[in-house]
Amino acid sequence: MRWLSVAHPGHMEALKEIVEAGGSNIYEVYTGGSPDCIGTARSGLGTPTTEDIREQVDYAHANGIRMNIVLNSACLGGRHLTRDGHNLYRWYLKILNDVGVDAVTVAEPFLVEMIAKEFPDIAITVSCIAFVASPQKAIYYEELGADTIALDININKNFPVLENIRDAVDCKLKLLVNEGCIFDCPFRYAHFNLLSHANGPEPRPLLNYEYYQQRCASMRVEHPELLISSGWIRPEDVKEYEAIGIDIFKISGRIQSVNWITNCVKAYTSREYHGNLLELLDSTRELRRLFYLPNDALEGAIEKWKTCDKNCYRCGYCKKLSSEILVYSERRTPDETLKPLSDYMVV
Amino acid sequence: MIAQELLDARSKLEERLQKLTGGAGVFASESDIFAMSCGCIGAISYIQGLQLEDVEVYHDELKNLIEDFSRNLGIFPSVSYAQMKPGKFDLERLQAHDLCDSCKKEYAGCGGKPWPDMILFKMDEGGESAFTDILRFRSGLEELLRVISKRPAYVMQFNIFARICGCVGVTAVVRGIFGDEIQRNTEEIVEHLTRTSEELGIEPTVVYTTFVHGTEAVAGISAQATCKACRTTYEEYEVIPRPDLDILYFEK
Repeated sequence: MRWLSVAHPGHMEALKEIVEAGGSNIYEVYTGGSPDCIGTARSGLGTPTTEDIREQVDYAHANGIRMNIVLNSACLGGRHLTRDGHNLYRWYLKILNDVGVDAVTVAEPFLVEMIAKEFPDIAITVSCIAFVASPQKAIYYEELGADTIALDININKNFPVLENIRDAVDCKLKLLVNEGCIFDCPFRYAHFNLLSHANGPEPRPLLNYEYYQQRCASMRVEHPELLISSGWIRPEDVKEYEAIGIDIFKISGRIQSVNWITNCVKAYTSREYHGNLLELLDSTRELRRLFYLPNDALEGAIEKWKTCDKNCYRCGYCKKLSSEILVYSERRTPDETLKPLSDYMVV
Repeated sequence: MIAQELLDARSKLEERLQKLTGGAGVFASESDIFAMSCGCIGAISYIQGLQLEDVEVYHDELKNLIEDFSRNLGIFPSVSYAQMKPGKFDLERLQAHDLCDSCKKEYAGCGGKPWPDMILFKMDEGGESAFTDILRFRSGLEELLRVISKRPAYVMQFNIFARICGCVGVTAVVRGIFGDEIQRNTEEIVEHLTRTSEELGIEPTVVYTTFVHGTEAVAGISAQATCKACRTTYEEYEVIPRPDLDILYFEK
């Protein structure tokens, strides 16, 4: 049974290592398309040509793995509603179709419907940044033509909603397992919108400032419990989601190093991990050198989260768990140590 | 002192680069020595005017150039590479690291291409770096900020920089500390950064914090010996303040 959707930075060397690490667990790999056409909501590091994509599609298929190209710009700037824009998308999707790409991931409802109509051979995944978080929204997207829906990460620990969505639609459901974003993040829509423009077609904004990433990191240093209440799923807890009918589990990390990605693949395929959970989480890259969140200390917490009503302000369970967090101090000096969080603040 | 060595090394690297490529429009806008929170230390030169094909043609020469630069400053690299601008064909920087154990794993394997936008020159065991004091400077500032803020404030990176204009200084990328906390402890922070700078051979004329744009969250703390032109810029900030910058000390 193939069940993992794995981030792929975009070069052949990476694909080979990912395939070797995940083998028959990998359902698909996904990577960014051309930023000059549609763009994605993540930074694209590589510049794969059509021939690069064709070669990688062939390699993936030879290993029984599907290739998904991510075109999940959260904002197309209205281009999709112009003739030139529509024709550009049609031209690019035809290229992807011709080289044998199996699926695309999109966030814009228009693209779901357009691709379903014009490119029936390309399977459509609705991106997690379409923020599908209710049965009704899932039904809408299924009716527009979705084959798979990657659900909003904010409902990863909301089992009643997940179960209701499962009941409501027949398409495949996918959950992102290792994103470390803040639960119900106030910046989420705006940040993805910005990234979509920054990693989409020209004109790209020439930014003088970073705001979202820096602000979010500051919030998590100020409130380390946000690391716990985030929507990640521990490798050990994947079975709880399989039991309610989730089909595919997505490993995020297109901008991470290949060894980082394969380390995640190995942790999730073995369904266990004994180390700093932050080492598996995307979006906390800068914080995993500050905090050590022992994965073993979180064993059993899923039972609480399965019935959690998400009223963090009055619950305090994740804040209590944050007492397990350790803090790196004086790295690579003779005084290097890991200190309890309580040495620095009231937990 | 290391600051003067860095200024000289930047000029020398730029001169070698221009001779190598024959490009008058090729320059090193800034060179840094840095310590990361993970324990990596390294040397960087930000380059303008070179593209991917130049890196391919001058691969070996660029490798020697950045490794010489790094070794001359006391950092014996275990990895060196050219970093392209994400999704583009322009060179952003040449970099050499003495890697920490954790990053060694991230950089290893994958046919020497751990990220698609990086052209790895070499990866090996490196050597015993001579200039490791920078790790102490990073963690020293971090511990001070933790005492001030009463939380695990974070110095992600600590850099010593030398710019093409002649400015030289230190800068720390920080998270988890706020403007009012800096304001209440300005004297202590300025004193700490001035002492650190002086150990490196820098006599700061300005010490300032930069904010996460539009907020009170601090993004960076710097101490800088300004060149004449940049001094004028900071003088102007006293007349028309920059909303994302708070000057803690300015030598009159």
